[in-house]
Amino acid sequence: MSAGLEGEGVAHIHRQVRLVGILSAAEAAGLVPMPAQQLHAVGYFADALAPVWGLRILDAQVLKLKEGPTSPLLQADLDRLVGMGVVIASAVRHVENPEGLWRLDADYSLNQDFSESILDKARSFERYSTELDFLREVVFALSGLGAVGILSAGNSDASYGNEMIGPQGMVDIASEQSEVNPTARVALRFKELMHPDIALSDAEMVHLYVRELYNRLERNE
Amino acid sequence: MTAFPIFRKLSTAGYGLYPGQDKRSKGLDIEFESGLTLVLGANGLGKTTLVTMLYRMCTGPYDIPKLAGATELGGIKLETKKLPAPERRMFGDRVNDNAENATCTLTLTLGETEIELTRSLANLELLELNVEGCDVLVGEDRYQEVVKEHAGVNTFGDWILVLRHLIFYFEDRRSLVWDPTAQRQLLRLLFLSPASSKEWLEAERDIRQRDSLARNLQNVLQKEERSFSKTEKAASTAGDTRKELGRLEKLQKKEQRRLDELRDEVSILSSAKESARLGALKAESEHESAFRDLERRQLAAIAGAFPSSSDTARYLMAQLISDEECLACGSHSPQTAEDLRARIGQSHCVVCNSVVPKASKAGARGIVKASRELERAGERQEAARKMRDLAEAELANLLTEIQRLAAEVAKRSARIEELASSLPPDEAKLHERRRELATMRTRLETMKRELTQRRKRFSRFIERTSHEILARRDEVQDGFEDFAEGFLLEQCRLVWAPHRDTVGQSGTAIDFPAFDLEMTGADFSTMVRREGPQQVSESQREFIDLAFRMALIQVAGSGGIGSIVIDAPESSLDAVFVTRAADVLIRFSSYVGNRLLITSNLVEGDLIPELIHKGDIESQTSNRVVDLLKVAAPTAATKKLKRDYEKVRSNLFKRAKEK
Repeated sequence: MSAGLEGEGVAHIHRQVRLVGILSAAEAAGLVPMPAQQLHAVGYFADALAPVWGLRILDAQVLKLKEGPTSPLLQADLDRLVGMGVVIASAVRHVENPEGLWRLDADYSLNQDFSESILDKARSFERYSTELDFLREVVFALSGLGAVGILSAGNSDASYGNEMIGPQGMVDIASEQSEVNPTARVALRFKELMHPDIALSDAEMVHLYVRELYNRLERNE
Repeated sequence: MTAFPIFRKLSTAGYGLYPGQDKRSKGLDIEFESGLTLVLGANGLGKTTLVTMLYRMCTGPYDIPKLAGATELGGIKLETKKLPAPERRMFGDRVNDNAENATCTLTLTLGETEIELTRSLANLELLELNVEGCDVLVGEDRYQEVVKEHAGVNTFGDWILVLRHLIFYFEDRRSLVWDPTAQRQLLRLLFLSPASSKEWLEAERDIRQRDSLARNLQNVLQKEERSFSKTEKAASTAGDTRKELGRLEKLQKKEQRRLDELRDEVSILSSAKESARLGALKAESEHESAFRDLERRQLAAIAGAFPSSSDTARYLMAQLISDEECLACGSHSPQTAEDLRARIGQSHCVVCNSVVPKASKAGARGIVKASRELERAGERQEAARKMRDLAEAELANLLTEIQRLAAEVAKRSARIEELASSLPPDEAKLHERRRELATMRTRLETMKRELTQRRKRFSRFIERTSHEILARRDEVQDGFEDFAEGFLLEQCRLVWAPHRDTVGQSGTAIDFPAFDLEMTGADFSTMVRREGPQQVSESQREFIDLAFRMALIQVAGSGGIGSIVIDAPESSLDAVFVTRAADVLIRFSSYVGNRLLITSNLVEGDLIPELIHKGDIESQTSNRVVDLLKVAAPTAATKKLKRDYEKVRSNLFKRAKEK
């Protein structure tokens, strides 16, 4: 979970831009206000699939919980965005998860007064512009799973759903031991499986991976 | 499915330690009925000998060397070897005729098959073997084949592992819950198909052998290099080249050794980093939970003070009070937070400071408790993060150091070769030897590369086969909870926690299937991983391990049944836990078909009366009681104090009736 090359302050801003990007894409996909757990799940997939687009993973390790990916760091950044007025929280409540841990639950949406200028500024840099495009693809792909599907998608994911990792175990999506995490590996595999004449775009790989998740969810049902 | 031994009958003939009840009987004669059998005695009457005899009847004169004892299984070779002669004579040594004509006969079933065997107590030699009523050609090899076939295990070593880790609960037992190496071997042999189990064993053995060969070659190489260095020194002429070469070679050897050592350290530091990262994640999660718990309590307390139900306003206020952070400007504002907390404490409105109706006392107490918990969680989080950062930095430093050293060694190697090739012809011999050593090092590198490839293949194999074991995880966890329930006051569960370990003494670590224990405790509000037996009390330790064994027998056993033999369980129990312990033991013995054999001294505790009462033992003469005061040869103490012992025994049965 180390911040890596970025300093703590810069890392916060990067994380906050990612959250704003997710909520903006969620708005376009009709998913707002977005419940906290959905936001955590999308945040997780944005990290797990980041290598497909050559992007940076922000939360390299997450704790495996029964109710799906939850990141205290993401929540802290979300809290700050609410404080700054960039994000609006509604239906705030506290819930105890199956492991007996308390977490904040709320529905989140963007405050357009502030978010638009943040997104405009971010888009002026190629790196962040690419990241916002990527987030849009992730959110749009996940939106096809529906609200319930997004929440349970973690269990079918190649990394988070790995049965060898038990509850309260560590899901490492940026392990030094392997070049790329299992989620991104599956997504990249689609490219290899395609006919040589067909060139899959990065966006298509994300969509194909989420479609695979959908199939797994259907099978599990 | 593994067929665990179901003991039916054990008898001795002509063995001086167990002369029998009267002149008519020939010795010890125990019929094991379904349920509990209690062996009662005093020091020196042969309780432990009886348990050992039962064990040796099953193993014969073979065992896995170094398996006994309380240390972890680790890298012990799981191959059986014939016991040294003194150990084969252990029963003979206890009597004055060396047990020359003494025999012991055991009847047991493995699945549906009944096996009867008779061994000499003088040396454990197999005298008779009868399978399903038919005599079988006697021979230890034949016995081992029969056991493997009917128990459903691959090797006789696996049979011994089952006996040591599941069936027999010796005083010097090893805790299965906290021995991940033993666990993975047990999980392999219990839950994998015979073919996969065999493949696992062979691949693991192959890697260990190659690892050992590579290490031996490395040691030989180092010795040769040292010896060469001396020869070179002796033969050296005082030329600048020679001096330079000598200096460089000396340094090269030193750094090569250092590089080897550092490479070996990688897997250790890598595991430590993984563990520290998981610790930090958990601490962060617990801190978040503690924070949210306090926040929700405080929100509840201040909710009434707001004229509107603006979520954002309450959210901001709660963050300010709980985390001392102003979300609006990002400032750290402890003083404001303190003021607001004081207002809540004095039942004033947090916004305008007006007096409002008092919050309930229970609510206020809850806030104080949650604040303390948050403080503690903060400390744990801080410590865990420091530990993680330290572990990450240590590994990063190590990898940088390896990279630097490897580059220097490679550069120096080229320079040495260059200098050596410029030496005069009379040094050709030395140069030839130098070349030989270089060839040897190349061979070592090739061996190491091959070893790495095999480790990778084995790692993929383990990943695949672990899923077969994983498919039984829930059953094991549920079984454990069934048995452990009621014994422990804390919440306790088994969690699937693959154990990262190397095969051999180096190489990349592999995730092996394993369970860990999580338990609540005095200083933990949520369940916390207990990574070693020292992290729980002695009473808890014994019965957690026992519940794990019982669960494995229930889930993996043919028909879900098996036998458990426990030598002197009362020694580790405190008085308060006795009733609970008896419940766990009786729960196992009450499954039809299970056999539970417990030995105990005649002591004044509650365990024996509880077991007698709950195990439906009606009287001292019940078939379920083996009274060593009657069956065994008396000691000086039992002769002299016979009445006292009998009185204690009668009291135990009397107390059982009163229950």
